[in-house]
Amino acid sequence: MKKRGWIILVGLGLLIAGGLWFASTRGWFSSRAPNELTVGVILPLSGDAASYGEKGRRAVEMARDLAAQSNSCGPVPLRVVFEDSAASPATGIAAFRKLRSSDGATVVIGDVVSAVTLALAPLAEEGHTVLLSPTSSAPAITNAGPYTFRIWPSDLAEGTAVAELATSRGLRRIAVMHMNNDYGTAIAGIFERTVRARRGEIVLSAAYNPDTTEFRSTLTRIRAARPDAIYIAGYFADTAVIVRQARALGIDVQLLGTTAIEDEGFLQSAGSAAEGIIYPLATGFDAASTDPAVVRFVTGFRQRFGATPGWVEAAHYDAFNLVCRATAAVAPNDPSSDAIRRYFEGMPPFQGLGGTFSFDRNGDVVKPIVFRTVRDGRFAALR
Amino acid sequence: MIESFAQLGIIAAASFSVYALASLGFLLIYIPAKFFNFTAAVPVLLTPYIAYAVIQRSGSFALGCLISLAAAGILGGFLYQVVFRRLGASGYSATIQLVATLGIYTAAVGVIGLIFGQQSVRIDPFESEAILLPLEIRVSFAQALSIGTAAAAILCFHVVWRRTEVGLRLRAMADDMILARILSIPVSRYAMFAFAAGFVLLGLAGVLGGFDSALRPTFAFPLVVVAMVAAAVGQGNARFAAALAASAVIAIAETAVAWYAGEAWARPVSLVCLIVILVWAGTQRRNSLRQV
Repeated sequence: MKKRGWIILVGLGLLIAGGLWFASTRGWFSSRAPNELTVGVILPLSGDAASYGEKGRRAVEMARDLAAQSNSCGPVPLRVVFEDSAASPATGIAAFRKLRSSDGATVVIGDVVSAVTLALAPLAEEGHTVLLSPTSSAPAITNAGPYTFRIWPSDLAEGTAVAELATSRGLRRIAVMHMNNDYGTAIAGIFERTVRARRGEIVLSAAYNPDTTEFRSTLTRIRAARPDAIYIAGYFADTAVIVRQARALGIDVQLLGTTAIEDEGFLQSAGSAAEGIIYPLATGFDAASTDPAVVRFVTGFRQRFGATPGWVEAAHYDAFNLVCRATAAVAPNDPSSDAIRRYFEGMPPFQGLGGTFSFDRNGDVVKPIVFRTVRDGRFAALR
Repeated sequence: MIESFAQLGIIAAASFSVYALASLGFLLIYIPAKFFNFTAAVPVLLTPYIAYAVIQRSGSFALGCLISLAAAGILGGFLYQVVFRRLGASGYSATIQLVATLGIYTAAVGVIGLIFGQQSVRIDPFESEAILLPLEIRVSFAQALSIGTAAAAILCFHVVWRRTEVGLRLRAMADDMILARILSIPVSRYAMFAFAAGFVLLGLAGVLGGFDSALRPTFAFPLVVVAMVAAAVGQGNARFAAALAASAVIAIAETAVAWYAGEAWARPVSLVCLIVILVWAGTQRRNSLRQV
């Protein structure tokens, strides 16, 4: 009797589990209305990269509201659902699964952090869901699969461009400090290879962990090596500390940074030590531009959030508007992820805030890189 | 080469200053708590943020430091009265109390994140200015302040610990809490004092450590890990000289390893060094006990 009871219990459990699985694959639990299309947005809203995530969320919210007012996304309404990745691949995967099974997302915008985007890409391929990253730059994303796109150039492009600029300016002996994560390691590796290929010399290459706040030991060694320049491959917070500690040690050589430093927090944290640092911008976005679309975006953003938007906001704004344009074009006839993927693959150049771009056959963005610097306490175009 | 080593000496001294203050503070709160508690990270985190907020509003650096350190002391006393005294009296195991302290630390990180945001902020009012010494050695104002303040604080601590009635009673409590009660020492009052003083020292370590770097809600934890390791070398029982020596070993090892192999290797290698020292010290102690 006892044995039979157990068998019935296990059988019932299996039946319920199977039913739940079947229902979830059919989207029966989806909270999406039948006539709308869900856009999932995965951002690091907590954790080390939370400042980037919050900026992205604001930009997407603004883009969504403006699109709803102007009805620019076509007749199929878009529902936006935000999820937190905490800059962690495991949390990002859970967020993606929730968006797919519970919200029925057709397109997912995300993530800011390359490691999370790389973790999401296999799920996007498996579930045939378009994944569009606004800012991920890891070279491995190029081969992530046909459903993964990004509107930020690969580190390959950024690292190569900085190395070419440095060597063309006669900076031959270069020291490299890079963050010990996917981003820092990849971009520094590409930079070093390009410098050596152009007959330059890497006098020192040192890694640091993301929570490091004391860099003076490495900087002392760099000072003794007397390089022409220091390339810092990291985010803005750590770059700001390195820049300040370098200047305090009397290191007065040319500093080179990454796109990630274009953030008001960098200027605030680095102070006058930031003057003259050169960095690439993988987007042509300039908040001071007189382009009507940029002026409208910057003015609206300032009114709504009381802050000046930067490249993170611009990239997320462009990502949402690109999805909006794709759905306007294909969703009335075929509101599937496959239709949006096909649209991205063959789309005409898209005019975003960061310039005009399209995708290559790997889903990588095709657009030029510009160089900028800090002049008189502000970000400015490099002359 | 000599210039580089002299410069590294300054860097190690500045790091030691911060680690020493943190480990002294940690050992002080260990006296009544009797377990390794993560609440030590709370003053390290909160104090520099309070200093930052006061400096932002008043423009006075000294006022910011004073108010934030006073707040750290009050918080220490308050936490002892409200949490640790009751937890201790209720007879919970050290493990359960340790989990409770993790909860307090996590709450503090959340509160700081909500108030100040996740973005890093800076409290250093000295820009990148530095004092130029012979051999091209540069000491930033923040480093000079750290070394000077820590030296003064350690000296004051030594005087209080060795030469005053308060120090005598705290030493009695560190040796044997029950015996201290039998000797009519008002243990509860001195425990609250130890928490308050420990929090002030930890807060001072946070402010000085946060000077040259950027403050982030997560920046306190690595510093407290170092303090815990130093305290472990001191066996957690008011062996302040051992804790200071361990702090010095960590600071020197970190500086040397960071110089040689990059900052990414500094913390792991220095902690491995300490484990080796711990094992060696343990063996020595066993041998001397056998001889006795």
